[in-house]
Amino acid sequence: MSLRSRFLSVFRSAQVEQELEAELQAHVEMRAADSIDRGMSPTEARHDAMRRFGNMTRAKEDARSEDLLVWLESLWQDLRYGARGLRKSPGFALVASFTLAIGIGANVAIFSIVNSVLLRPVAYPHPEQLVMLWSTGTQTEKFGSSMADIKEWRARNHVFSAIGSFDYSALTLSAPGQEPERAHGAEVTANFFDVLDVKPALGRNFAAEEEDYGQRRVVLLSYGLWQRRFGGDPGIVGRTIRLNTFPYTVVGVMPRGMPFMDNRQPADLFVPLSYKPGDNMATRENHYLNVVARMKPGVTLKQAAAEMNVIGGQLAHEFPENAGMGIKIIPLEAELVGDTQKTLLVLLAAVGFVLLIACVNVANLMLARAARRQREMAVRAAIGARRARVLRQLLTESLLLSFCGAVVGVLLAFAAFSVLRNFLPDTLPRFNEIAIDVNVLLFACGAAVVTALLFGAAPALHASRSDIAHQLKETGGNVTLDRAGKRARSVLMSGELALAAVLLVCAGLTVKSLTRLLGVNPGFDTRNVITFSVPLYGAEYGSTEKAVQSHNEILAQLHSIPGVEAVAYSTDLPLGFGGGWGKLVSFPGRPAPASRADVPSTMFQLISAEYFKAIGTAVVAGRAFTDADDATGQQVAIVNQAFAHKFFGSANPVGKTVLMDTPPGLASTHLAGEPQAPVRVIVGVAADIKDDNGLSQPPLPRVFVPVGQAKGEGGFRTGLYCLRMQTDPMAALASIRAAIHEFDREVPVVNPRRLEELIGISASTQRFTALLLTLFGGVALLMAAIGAYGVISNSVAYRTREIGLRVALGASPAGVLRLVMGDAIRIALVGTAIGLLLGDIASRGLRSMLFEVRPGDPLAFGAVAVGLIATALLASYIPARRATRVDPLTALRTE
Amino acid sequence: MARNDQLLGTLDLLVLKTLQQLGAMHGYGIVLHIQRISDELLRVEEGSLYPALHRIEQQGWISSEWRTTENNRRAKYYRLTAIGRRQLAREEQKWAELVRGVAAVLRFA
Repeated sequence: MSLRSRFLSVFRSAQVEQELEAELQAHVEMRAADSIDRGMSPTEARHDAMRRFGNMTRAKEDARSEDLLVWLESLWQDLRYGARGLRKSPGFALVASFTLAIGIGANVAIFSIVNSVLLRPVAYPHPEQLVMLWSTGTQTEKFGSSMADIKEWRARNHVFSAIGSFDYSALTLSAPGQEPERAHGAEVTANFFDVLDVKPALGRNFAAEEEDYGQRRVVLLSYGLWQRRFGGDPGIVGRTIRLNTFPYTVVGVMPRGMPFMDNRQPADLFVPLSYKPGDNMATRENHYLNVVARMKPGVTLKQAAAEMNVIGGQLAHEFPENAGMGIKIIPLEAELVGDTQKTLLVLLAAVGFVLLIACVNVANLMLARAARRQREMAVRAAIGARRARVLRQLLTESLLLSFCGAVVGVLLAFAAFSVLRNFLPDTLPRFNEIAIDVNVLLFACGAAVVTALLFGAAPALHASRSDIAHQLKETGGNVTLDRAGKRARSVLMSGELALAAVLLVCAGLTVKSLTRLLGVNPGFDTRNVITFSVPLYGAEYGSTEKAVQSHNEILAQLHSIPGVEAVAYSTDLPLGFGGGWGKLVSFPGRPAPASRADVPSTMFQLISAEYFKAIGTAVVAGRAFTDADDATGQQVAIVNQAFAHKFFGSANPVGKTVLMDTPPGLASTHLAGEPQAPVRVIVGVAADIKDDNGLSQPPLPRVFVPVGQAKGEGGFRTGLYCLRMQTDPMAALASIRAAIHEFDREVPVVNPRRLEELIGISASTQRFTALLLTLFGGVALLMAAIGAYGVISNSVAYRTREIGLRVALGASPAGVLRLVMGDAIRIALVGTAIGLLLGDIASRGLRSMLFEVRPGDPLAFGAVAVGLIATALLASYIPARRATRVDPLTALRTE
Repeated sequence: MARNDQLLGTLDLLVLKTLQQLGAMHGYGIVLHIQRISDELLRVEEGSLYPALHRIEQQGWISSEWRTTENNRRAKYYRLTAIGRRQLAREEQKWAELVRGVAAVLRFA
């Protein structure tokens, strides 16, 4: 039986069983038939045939065990033999398995991330049916959708079994005697969890009528919040909790471990998405909802996209607000992975290189060992061992080594992971699902097998091919190394240096890119600034006016904290941490665009007077806001440089006017019954602040408006605060909490952090990549050094006699050093040169991940070349020095 | 029928030889053949035959395939492989040596 069918006989035992059964059955029937021919009655014949067989089950079992036993027995022999061989050279076994442990462990750690983020299906039933639907426009690729549109989609489509939507949201959870807490979660349509096909662990999902305004004071808790805040109280369903100071009835608890979308934001609780009649948020204008739909069984993505395309076209035609808009459909799983795929694949490739280097190193050790064992192999061949048998035995030994490495590697990965967890980028989706599961362990086994073949095959082939007669004739127990083996080791060494060079080039480029990124002027001054948000959701803050008034009172309180230099609140934070608010903008006096789809949009932010001072941004033209810019004064605006440049070119925008709405004549964005947006005079231009586009991209145009003039611009409740202190701002946190507590015991201070943390978080993907690539590069460099040391010291041992002879004939120590180092220099130069060429190709794949650094950056390449050659030479110098001290007498006598 | 223990050591040899003589044959055929050729002196236990067949197949000495018998029944047929032929030669030689050795001891007076 071939190895393949033997494997099958182990794994497909059901089929083997059947075959065996049939074979024995045939036997019994044939004997019975013969007996009948000889005159026996059929019953008797059958009985006799069975009896002759003795115990049928026993016979079957015996036959079956032979299949496995023979194979297992010889495997066991090989393993024992291998283990004995490894025990005899513990140094080799230790170094080799530890090298492999590092290589395999690093791979397991990275693969466990890739596995959870990219490979494991989203934990909803039939995730392949789930898609996200986005609105598209002429200026923006994809954005949220309006409830009015979603209702049309629901009514008109035939491809989805249901369409649900949600909006990330946070609610203040308070209870008498407890610190109020900001609970994050989502407002969801009543059918949302039915779309995901998730049933609560306790209680029930929302009912359709709970979307109706006035019925919406019900809440579903996450399992985590239920455990943490309510001690897993089994009687929680039906109880009332306080959210935003209003009583909500708990209707259910979601199952443990239920992910919510990409799991990046905590999802502690869910409330129904509902609108009071005439709510601004429910209009066709307000594109903010995330839409998740489930395709009917059998419907393909293509069909769904085609139908939604048609519906998008209809809506664009029927509703003026929808002019130029369309619908985009993206499978949920692709959506959740987002753009992390590339980063993870680059890291996986890099860590694969580390494993390759580890393999090369171990292969080198194996070759050296094979040289020492040539006589043993020759003897085995001489007494009749077949070549295949020797080959198999050597490979078993490799497997043994690599499985030792894999076991230690998985343990290392566990350890590494507890450290790595702190460096995971905040942009990584599903990061809290990362775990070492069956897939990861299978991967580790696979890696071990592939590794064993990679590092074991060449040395094994080489060793088993030894010429018996020649080997047996060799005298003495000295280390021998034939020419082919020596060349193989030099080639491997060059290859190892080349691989290390590729990794180091990539690491160098990403590190340089990260330094550049962190060195970018963010447009604000992070020193001694703390930011936090203060949500005001009680009944007493029912309107924007009241919210502004309350925030102003808090502002006054905060001002009285000793050491405060400036304090302000606004509706946004730099680098996209405030969520962002976009508006259409028009310019009174200029010709209006032909259609609504052509009206430009801009970012919009309400700020209190000291905002620019608090955040440390210069007003480069005109003036900043003052407390005098209130509802009664002239309606004013400040624009950023990007806005000035885009809409005014080189002209000075100060004194010009803007309107945060469509121009008169086109359908307005404002709601019936609400005040119209006023025409504003631009009074200043602020320096650009890095925004949602991130540190690497120029910011979007932005308009700032004083909080006191919010009327007509839409409402807000949550103030995002910036507090600039003379010294460490975190020291003031207690005073800040006290001040806000004094204002209202039920208002929390949410997400207090230093302003520089925002930069750190914003660059966290790049930091993660650079950190890991540097780590991998370091490991590669270390392994290359060890490899170089091994090759040269072996070559010195091999040439001891030759060197002794040369010394005896009068060679100087310097001459001997030159002789030995000549090899090392050749290997280092060739390896590095190949590595830099490969690195140039590899780094082009990194292009999109680099900021202000070209893939072929000469500094990075130069540093790698110098560093790598220096390391290789240094590592070779130690054994080379030893060669200069060879005592010619001893050297010659050993032969 | 009592277990024919003395056969155990030589069962491999008998099976291999039978297959050399018959070409491809199923288990039942092997039993009949050995019984008939040995004039009923040797009886192969069904309970030992099949484990032996499977073990020998594992060693790569014989290979198997499903075929139809003359009586239109499906049965598993075994045949010698090249390695099996070499093995048979070795086993025959070993057997001959054993017989010679035992005979020499018996003849010693």
